[in-house]
Amino acid sequence: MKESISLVKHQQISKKFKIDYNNIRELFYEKVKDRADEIFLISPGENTAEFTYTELKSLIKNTYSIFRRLELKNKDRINLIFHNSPEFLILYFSALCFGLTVVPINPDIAPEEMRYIISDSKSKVIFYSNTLEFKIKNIKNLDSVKLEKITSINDQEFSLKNEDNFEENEISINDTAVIIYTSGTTGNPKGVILSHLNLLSDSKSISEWFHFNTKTRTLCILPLYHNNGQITTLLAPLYQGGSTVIVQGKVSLLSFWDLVNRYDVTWTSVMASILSILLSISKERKDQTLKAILCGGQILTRTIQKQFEDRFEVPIFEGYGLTETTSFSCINCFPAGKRRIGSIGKALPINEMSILDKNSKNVDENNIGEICIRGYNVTVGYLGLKEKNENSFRNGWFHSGDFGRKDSDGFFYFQGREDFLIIKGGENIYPAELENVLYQHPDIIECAVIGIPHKLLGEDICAFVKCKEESQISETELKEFCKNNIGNFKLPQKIIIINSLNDLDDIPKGPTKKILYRELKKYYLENYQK
Amino acid sequence: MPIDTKELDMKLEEILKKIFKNEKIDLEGTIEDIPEWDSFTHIQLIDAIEEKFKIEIEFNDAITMTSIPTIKKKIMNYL
Repeated sequence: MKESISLVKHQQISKKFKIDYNNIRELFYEKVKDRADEIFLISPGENTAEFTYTELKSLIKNTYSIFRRLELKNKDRINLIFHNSPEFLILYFSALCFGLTVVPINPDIAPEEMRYIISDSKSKVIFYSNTLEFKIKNIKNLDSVKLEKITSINDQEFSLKNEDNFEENEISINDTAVIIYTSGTTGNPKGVILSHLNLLSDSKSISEWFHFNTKTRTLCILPLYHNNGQITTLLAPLYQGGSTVIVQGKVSLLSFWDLVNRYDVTWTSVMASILSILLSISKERKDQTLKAILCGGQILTRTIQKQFEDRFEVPIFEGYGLTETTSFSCINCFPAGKRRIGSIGKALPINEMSILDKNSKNVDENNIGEICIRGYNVTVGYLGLKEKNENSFRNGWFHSGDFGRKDSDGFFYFQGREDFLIIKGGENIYPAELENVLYQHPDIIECAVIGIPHKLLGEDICAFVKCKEESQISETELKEFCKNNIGNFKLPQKIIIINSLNDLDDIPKGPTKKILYRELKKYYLENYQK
Repeated sequence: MPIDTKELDMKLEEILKKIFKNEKIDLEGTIEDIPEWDSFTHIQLIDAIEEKFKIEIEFNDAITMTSIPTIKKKIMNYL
């Protein structure tokens, strides 16, 4: 570590943690030296693509000329709108090595939602997959942004002459590497600023926790536009000179065990809903390579864990983290015999975790309080949200809004959330996101959105709406209306029009007219859940 | 057993309507523009295709069947 690290208060911890590189470029170039002709990336498909470390470096250098043609400069921001693909990865690494900030966008959100992120992040160029052109065309007011459609890395421009003589931009360890948008309580997503320090510390920590080495090969099935995919299955194996197999999660679950077997995968990271889906399919494990599965982002029930481990004979390590902590901040202990089942594990060495009460005082062991985190992997804050930053980052801690407890051996246990965040198949959705869309319908007077239990996804979405008396609108018509205004995965499974109910006249509210979401959930469970 | 494209279209459309619970299926559609096509319905779709056409789809094909025209092409290769 050559450069001194500047840490804000909620990144400071009592123990020092050594970071070996100043930025992702240094990490990558160092690995190119050690692992030159070894495979780093595999992208299975009709024409399976494989890249060695050296080949990827060459592609990165070639991509610099695309950035220069587009007049991008050090620290400029770019949007990447792709599903998991070699194109995303080449642009991602090229941008980080060039000194740009990557702002990935989930391709499944609606054009209007994309527009908000593009505008809020003040990106200079939007790189997008040609398969998403129909969606990009529908994003309004993009006059100040350049659009760059990418068909394939086999395009001529990616294979232009190597730009080895180009002087590299200076990148500080505290420079912003990525900004990842995560659901916001008010409906608009918030941009979480993650620096090279955040990415390096979290990926190093995870790779060491699980003893990753050059033989480690991960299966990256989670979307790379989120932090979990980027850190645990891409940067963590890179840190130890390993390799990764990237696939588009949407179409890969049926092929999960075949992919693990064909490519000798040793590790992967999933959401609990993926484990449930794999349990529901009649496909059995064939490989002898998979050592373990890391699982986070959703509550993992003991039943699912036991069924999965009994049937597939592979240990699951549950962990906990948020976009604000880059990825994981605690993970169950490795190897499997040291796990405490039901726990989200112990704090990683790059961060400290504490359970605090409302006055930011430590609560006693096994008592419930808010999970608070500080350390090298904690974001400096949200992009342009002063009030939210003051509220979430105070007294030297990041306040997660999640509740939990810690036992006498330092194992943490997740208990729930203070707000009404819905986690559907690992995607975070705040009720306000869908409520804001529903309120745009002229027939709707009032609405409230809740999470409802779903066997495989963990949760699905149900909306209660109160319509104008004269309204004749149907559930199908309302669903159709939502379809055009919000990402597919945020669409409600059920819309209950309360005008047609005999036992519910109004959306239940408390004395301050605050919607009683818990009451609605209780009503749903009593009347609709079999 | 050989199959003509008309019969293939008909059988496939029937499967797609059932899986996506939608009567209006664009036979040029892709995983990007059909809202109901997600990780779960993809599994159901491949399962239903295997059963209907009595074929076993290789995993490398299953992960590239991301548009209806590609699905049709792949099925033809198996028949």
